Amino acid sequence: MNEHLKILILEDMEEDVELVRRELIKEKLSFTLYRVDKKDEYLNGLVEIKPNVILSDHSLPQFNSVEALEISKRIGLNVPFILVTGTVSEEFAVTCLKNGADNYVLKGNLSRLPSAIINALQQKTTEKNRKMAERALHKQNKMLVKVNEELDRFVYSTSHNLRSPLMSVLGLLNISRKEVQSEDYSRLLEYFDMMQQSIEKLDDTLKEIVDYSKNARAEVKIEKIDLNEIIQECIDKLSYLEGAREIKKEIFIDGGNIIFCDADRLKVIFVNIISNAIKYRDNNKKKKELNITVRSYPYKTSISIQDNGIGIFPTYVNKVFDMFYRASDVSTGAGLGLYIVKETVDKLGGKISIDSEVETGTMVEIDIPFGVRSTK
Amino acid sequence: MNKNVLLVDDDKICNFITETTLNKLGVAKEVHSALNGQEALDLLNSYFLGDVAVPDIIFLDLNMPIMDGFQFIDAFKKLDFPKKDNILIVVLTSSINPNDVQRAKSLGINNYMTKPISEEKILELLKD
Repeated sequence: MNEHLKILILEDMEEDVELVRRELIKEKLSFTLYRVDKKDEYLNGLVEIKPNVILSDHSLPQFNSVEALEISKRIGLNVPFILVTGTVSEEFAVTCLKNGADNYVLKGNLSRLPSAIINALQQKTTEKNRKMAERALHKQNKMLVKVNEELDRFVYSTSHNLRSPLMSVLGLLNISRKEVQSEDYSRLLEYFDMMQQSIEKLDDTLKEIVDYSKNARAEVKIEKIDLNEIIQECIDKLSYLEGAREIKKEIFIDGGNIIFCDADRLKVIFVNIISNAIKYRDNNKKKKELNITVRSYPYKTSISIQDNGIGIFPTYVNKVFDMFYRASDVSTGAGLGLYIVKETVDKLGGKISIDSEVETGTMVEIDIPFGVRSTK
Repeated sequence: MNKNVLLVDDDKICNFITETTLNKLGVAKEVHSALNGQEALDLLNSYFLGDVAVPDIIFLDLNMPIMDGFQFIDAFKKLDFPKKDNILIVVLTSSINPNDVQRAKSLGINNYMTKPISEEKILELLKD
């Protein structure tokens, strides 16, 4: 026990304090003794000295150990309280222990005091550690419950989003079968087209789920990136989408074409936002535009992607980053797209915001710190 | 057995399947479709205006953007027009989440069908 102890001793007899001091010195304890013998002194001592140990005589002129123990508990000072007293009945000693005293030592047997102090301190430490472990466990448990709830929600929503197109295919198969049985083949091709649409929708959802899981699991990998190349790659990848070629795309790069970032994650961000700009283009506009601006600074990269599409209603703008939220009937996926973008930007330690006006267009702005590190 | 029907589902293909199945059975008179709860409410308002016939049956999906099935049921309950009580709401969903059934029931909806819809399921529904 190397810790320096602040010992508050409640004792009216100066000689008894000296006896205690001698015993503690004998055992080479490092300590300071603070003697008090009145209630207000005791209270002050508890608050100002914040002792590690309290030693208390049983009866004092205006005060007694039962009250002293009660006060120390009420103050919330969880330190060993040891009764140091003349002869007491066994019954009295038991009562004291029951009330929460940690030990009692008879003045006639003071050589027991040092070990009583050390043991009580150890016990308190163990107790404190146990409580801390309990609290940590409780916290962890709460977190697990939350994660489980999220997982439940995820499973149900995903199963729904996977089942929907499957059930459409099944429904179309039922209709086709009945028509074939009655030798009516006229609409089969139409049904095949719809089956294909449903299957593609299912595939979109599956891809979103894989993106989601990839971002959640994989470590951030920083590499040298050619911005122009990566943006062009994302645009090419999406050129099969209906309407993709009608949109005039402009890329503007300022402050250097090379940045250091996680290429896969950057692609997920660009692909999702650009595909939104394509899906939600405004067919009433003759000139459909998509402007991608990237500015790299020494400490961050700012990306702004602006379209002149149909825009988002003000009521939905704040919800577009929510999991499984779909703000429009045009949406074909599971409502994970922008949620994944948000999660990915988070993982890169960046910030994302969206600004939109119905019939005018949407602007997504992203800031990613330079040389990002995983925040999760 | 000529019923006026309103289909509410964000999946156009699903609305198509339901409409085709109803037509094959020859049980539908007028069929209209809406892509979400809000569109369905707008359509119901035009029913009140007398533009189209009031539906006898509403087939309602639960998971939809803008206004989902649960929100629609809530809003529908607050509507006030004669003959409203004659409208039968049938939840038609691909959800297999038991909580969804529970929630629909707590909103007073007792007809619940899981997709895909079929002639048999519709005949069973119209039997009652």
